[in-house]
Amino acid sequence: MKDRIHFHRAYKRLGPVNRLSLAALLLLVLALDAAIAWFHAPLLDAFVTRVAALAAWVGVRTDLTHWEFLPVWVTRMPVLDAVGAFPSRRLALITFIASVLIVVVLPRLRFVPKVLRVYAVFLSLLNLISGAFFVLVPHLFPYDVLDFSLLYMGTQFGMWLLMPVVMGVALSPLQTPVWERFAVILATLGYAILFGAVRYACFLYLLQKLTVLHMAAMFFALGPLIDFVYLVAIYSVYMNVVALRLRERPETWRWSF
Amino acid sequence: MVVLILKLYVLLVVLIMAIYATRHYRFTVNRLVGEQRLYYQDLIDSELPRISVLVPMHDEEKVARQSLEAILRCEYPRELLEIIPINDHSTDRTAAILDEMAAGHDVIKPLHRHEGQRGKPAALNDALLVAFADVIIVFDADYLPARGSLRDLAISFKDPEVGAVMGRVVPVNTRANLLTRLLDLERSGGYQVDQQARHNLHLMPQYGGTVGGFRRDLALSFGGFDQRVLAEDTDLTYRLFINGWKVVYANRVECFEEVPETWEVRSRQIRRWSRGHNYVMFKHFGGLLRSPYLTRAEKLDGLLLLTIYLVPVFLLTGILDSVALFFLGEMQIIDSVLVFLFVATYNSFGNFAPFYQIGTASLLDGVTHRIRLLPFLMFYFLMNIWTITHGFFQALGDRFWRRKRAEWDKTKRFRKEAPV
Repeated sequence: MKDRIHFHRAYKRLGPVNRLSLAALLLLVLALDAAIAWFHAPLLDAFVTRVAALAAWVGVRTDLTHWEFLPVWVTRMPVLDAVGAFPSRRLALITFIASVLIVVVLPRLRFVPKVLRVYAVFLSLLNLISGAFFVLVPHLFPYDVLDFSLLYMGTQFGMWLLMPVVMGVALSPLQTPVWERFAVILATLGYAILFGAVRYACFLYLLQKLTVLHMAAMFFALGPLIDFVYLVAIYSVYMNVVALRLRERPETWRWSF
Repeated sequence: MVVLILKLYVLLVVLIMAIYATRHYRFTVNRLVGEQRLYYQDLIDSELPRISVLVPMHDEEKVARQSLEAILRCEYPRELLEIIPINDHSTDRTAAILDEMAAGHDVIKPLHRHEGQRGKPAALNDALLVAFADVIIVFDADYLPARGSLRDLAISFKDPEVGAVMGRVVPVNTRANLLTRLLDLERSGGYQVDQQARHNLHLMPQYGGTVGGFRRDLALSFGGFDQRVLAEDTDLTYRLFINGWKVVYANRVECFEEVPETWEVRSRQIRRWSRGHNYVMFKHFGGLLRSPYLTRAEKLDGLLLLTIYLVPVFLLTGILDSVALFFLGEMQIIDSVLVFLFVATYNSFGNFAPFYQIGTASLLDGVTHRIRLLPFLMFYFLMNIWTITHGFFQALGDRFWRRKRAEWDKTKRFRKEAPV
């Protein structure tokens, strides 16, 4: 015999959200975003300096420069410039042909999971367009390392502002302590900065030591898409912790109304 | 000018994604902390209605016996029950299994179809003509209902406003591989939060075509199921709501199903859903907006549900738009942040349920470590977009060419039991 019958999962729920804690979380997220915005200059400078050191460690020479014309309130964006490896026409042609082959052949290889096939075809299409650019009109390719850096840094900074909001919204219905949820938001931001720095250095390495041909694939496959993956990963780890805690405290659950 | 249009389109896509993300956030909050609207399972009524349980089957020798045995184990007065397994053009041992089961149980009355169009709508239409009850309960061939399911589903029809009822689907093969685990999470988000919240908020819970029921006379008054439609469940949902009937959701009524174990099968399933759902969108868009029986909130929810398989099409074109902007050298900071936004918002909605909705559903379900698989839902990201867009264009073709019948693509079964 069970000595205790818990609520069935169909209609159990948590108690109402505490408005005070919700307001506190909202204020903390706003304060964090305001701090990032206010201290953007030293923050961005510190970030770029460390990326430059990291890049130098793997043998990539970069020049720190500041972009002045930004139309928003970030008036001086520090970015790293480097000499990119311009692809030879032969490499571009090989990339183009290989990409065409992947786009044509891969969808027919049924033993490869479809989920991977679709992803590989998408990346190959990007490389196909890049390859065609460098074969036909290399001088018209719209990016050099500096442009790419500016795009990367701009995106990165945008993420730093958006991530606390996205994570804050996702965590808002929970009833765990505010400081704990805010710590998760800070951890996500910290990871974004760390990961962003390592990724930037890797990109610079690839652009200088390998080729600038894969810029588009780098941006679309390893850019914002990946940022979202680790955001969800951190969220899921935290939810796992909350779920384990709730299992130990069944009295937290309420019934229906 | 072209660049401006491309940039405005990116903004439009973000806006659409944001609308859906907001909708699902509202559902999540409502389900986790809001007042829950109970179903009718606590109604004690001595006069249960007569019911006909329909189980469409095409080449289902792997699952037919188990499924019928599970239905037979359900507690329901035998004099009020008939079970009609529909052998729909099967070429394997399904027919023999059904006849064998019928020989041992009076309530099982197989319907063998060898002529006419194959497919669930056609099979259901034939069965509706021979069914003895006013209340029809439907299970797919791989479904394993719990003992109280029939009573709990049937009792809702004591409410004269109810036109259809839908129960909860729970995967039985969750532990098979990564895909099935992910599908379990997705189902959890879709039923535990999405459907229940729509039920709570008096919006438009959806009749899902299985683990559910409807009034036979209503289906017949609509002319039966439309055989051109691959999503006959969504079609019925909209017909009911547009004509002033309600669909209720029974979160307590759980039924096990087998989910696809390969990406290929899953992809075909989603494409079929997309084709069917988008066809229904073309069919009911105007009717939904004009219906005098629906509140504004119901219309808005109905509209968002109706266009849900259109959103990946917007997203795919949005991504192509971004690629075009990139190669035109016009991908500036704001645009690239927007790319993050629509990736974020798509994942807030795009896998049929957003990550926070699935996380919340898992919490309510008492799932613990499996929640950590959430980031793997990104695997779906591009595949879903591609597959759903493919289905959309098929639906467009169906509509444009006025196809009279849709080719029914049967979902492959993975159950290991050898047929007897």
